[in-house]
Amino acid sequence: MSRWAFELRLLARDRGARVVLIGWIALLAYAGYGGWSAVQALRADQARFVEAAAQERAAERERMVAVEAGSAPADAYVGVPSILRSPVVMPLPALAALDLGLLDRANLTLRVSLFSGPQHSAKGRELQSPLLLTAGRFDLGFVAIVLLPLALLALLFALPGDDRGNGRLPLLAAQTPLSSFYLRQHILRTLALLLPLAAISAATAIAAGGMSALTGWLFWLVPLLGWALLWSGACALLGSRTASAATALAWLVTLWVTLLWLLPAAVDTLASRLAPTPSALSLLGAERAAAQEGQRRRDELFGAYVSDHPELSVETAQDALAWTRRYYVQQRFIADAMTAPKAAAEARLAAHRQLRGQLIWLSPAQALTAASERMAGVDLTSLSRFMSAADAHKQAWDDALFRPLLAGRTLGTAELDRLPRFVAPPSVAGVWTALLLLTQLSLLALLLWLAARWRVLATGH
Amino acid sequence: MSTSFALQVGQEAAHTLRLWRRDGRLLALLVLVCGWFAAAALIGVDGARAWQIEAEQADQLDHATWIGQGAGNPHSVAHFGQYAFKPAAPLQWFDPGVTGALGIGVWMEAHYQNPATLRPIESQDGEVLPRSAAALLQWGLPLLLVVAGASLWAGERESGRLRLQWVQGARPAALLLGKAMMLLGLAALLWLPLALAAWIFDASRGAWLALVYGLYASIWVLTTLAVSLLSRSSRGALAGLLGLWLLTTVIAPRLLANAANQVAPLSSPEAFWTSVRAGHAAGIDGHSSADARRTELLQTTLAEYGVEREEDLPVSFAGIAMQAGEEHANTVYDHHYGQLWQQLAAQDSWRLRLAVFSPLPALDQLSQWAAGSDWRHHRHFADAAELHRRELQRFLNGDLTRHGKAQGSAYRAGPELWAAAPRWSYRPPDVSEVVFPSAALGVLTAWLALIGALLFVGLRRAQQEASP
Repeated sequence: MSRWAFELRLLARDRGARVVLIGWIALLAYAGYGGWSAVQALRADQARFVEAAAQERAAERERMVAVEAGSAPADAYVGVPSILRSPVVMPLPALAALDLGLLDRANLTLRVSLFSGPQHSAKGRELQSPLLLTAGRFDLGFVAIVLLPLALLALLFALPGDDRGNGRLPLLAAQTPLSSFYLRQHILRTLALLLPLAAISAATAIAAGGMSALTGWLFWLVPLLGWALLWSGACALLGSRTASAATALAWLVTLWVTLLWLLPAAVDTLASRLAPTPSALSLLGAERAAAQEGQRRRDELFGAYVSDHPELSVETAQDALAWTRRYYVQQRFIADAMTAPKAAAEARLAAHRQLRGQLIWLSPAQALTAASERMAGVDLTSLSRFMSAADAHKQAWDDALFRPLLAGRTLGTAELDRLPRFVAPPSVAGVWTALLLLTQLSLLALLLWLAARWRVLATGH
Repeated sequence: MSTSFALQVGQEAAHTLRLWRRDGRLLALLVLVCGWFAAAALIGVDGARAWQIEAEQADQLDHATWIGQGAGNPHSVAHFGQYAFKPAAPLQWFDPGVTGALGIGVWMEAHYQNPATLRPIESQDGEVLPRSAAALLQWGLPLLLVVAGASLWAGERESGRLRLQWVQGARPAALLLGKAMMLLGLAALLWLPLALAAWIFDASRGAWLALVYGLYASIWVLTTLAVSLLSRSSRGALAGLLGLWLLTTVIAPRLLANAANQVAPLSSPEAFWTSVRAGHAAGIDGHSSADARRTELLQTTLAEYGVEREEDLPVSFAGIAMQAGEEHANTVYDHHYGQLWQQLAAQDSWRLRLAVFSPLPALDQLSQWAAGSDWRHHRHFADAAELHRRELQRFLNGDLTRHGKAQGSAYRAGPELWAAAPRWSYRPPDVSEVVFPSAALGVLTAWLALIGALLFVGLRRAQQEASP
């Protein structure tokens, strides 16, 4: 029997290891199911939204057809540009089932119209469960980043310590090089945790996105391999340099607390102090002031607009849409007034994110979280790209509709069918981030392994 | 307590202190946890103060914007509305609770009861794990106790010191009490600063926080001793306690919150607003002249004033219709928001039912309640904002009704009306004004009783070991 097979049998006989592995598989299964069901629920919500928007559009088109065919009387409110709305839906990435990231707090469905852009149409969406938002999702990302190290500690902390405690170490050292013996043990136990993670995450990815999701899944998994190696190295180093298994365990838990709690908190605090995020309240204040100014000067603004665009000046006493036209001009005034404050806020936010993005390379847990969310397409960057695409769509929508609106004209079915539709931005894969992280973590793990005192253990000094 | 018993307790406490002073890993963890607790509290105080200042400034700016509107139609002004900004919760620096997920500003406009917007969570990157001062106490305190206390009994049994103690006539209860006192003293290193600081900020809330965290610390002191008493080796005790700590403080809070959300999910925002729109459509909206209910209201109004035509009314019917629309919308919002609060209560209730796996959800509810950062305190704010919104709409529609008759939609009111409008002001509730989560306290007490019973079993076993 080969050494590997023999050591595998030893592992299978270890009751403590069996308990850890069963618990590990149960947690993975729950997390996989939770991620998959959350994605299904979000998809169902989006499907309802798309269906409602399609029905709304079909009903409006039907009224237009009736007016065009003469079967219904002309109506100033049928085909009026300001009531048309365009649905904007963020395609849910299949790998979101592995890591839901920031999806719970994002607005995944929006309605764009002449009067409301993506930000405004998100009004009233703040009704998600505060409990869930605060606690976070129990998904495979959480299990792999937070719990995998703990499961590894449970399987590896006692490796040299117990053998030393019960006097087996000299015997082992006489039979085999200790470093290769413990290396085999570490590899076996790490694989015992990684294989269920790989299998369940692959099954979740396939269930949520089909076989095509497997490439993304592979790159999602790659940095986690480095993470597991890093913790295996830490266990080897502390296990070989402490007097007992219990002492090694206490130090390893302290390390876990440092890497998972203290370091991320320190990095975020530092990033917030050095590059503070913009104040949402002051931006709101600026917007309210601009809205008040626009409202106060509505007639004046409209007059100026019409004098700049004489071809659009059709207002008459019978113009049913006079208020709407003025309101639209007012909205454009607010949008113009907000350009500078918004740009300043976005620049501040970009500076904060850039700094944080650099600092998290010092904090493996945060770098992993960022890589996992990026691969799953649920990080801040992906959500910002979606909102930027929605803003661009709003611009295209306005460009297509403001002339008919200001000309006091309603749309026909041909124009309705030609209106722009939202096109989601392509997702950006973080393949290089994943590979870089694997390299960084593996090198760290190698250093830790090399720093372990196997030779000293073997000679007993 | 006899003198010899007290002496034994004192000697054991001194012995425990000597052991700890030699333990480098415990000192390292103590410095880490205490240092980070102090840092988290300072960062929390700074953040809460900045929040408070910003909310006050935003409130003043919004009031100035409101006053400076110039002439306008009261209904246009009603659509512009006012903003209500939530002040920082009394002890938010310690436990921010769900404040970050619930928004800090409510737009109080005509026709709509908006939920609070500007959620701090929206501009934040994801946290790997929660890191407020409260979170530090919730996981750091048990970890400290576990590392310090796992080997207190089991280790001394292994080393043979206990057998020596029994031969010398030591009483197990005295040894146990000495160790428990030292563990409680260790917990007090974190608990006392909390109690003092909380008491300085808000005495009654501080007292509650001190009580619930005292209970929590006691649960972990008893758990640590019970497991150490019942374990065969110090290694087994440490592994078992760390496993318990992992389950109850790292895995359970997130797992139970997810499970509660699955069992009692909230309506999606899309479904919520679809239902609200349907409710609106079923009643008068105030704007549409083709609305049958508006016609009915007109008939009633005409009868009330004893005239036959709208033109003969001495007041503006538009204002009356607007207010009727508001009254109808209010019933719709009361129904749907009422359901939303019930759903949140159901999630809390489910989380407590699952608290058999961990005392943390119960502590979490109590801690947030005492700190003023739970959803019930948020509801107090949201309800106050909604009452103000309704009062404001009534005021503006009343003016439209009284003065809007002659000019119709061209009617413009002046700045004196905006100055006379009700001014938003809000005082956060005292702790006694918000529903006390008594079930959570019951769960925490039950945990204490259960662990106390387990410790008693361990003590009986130790007494059998000690008897000759």
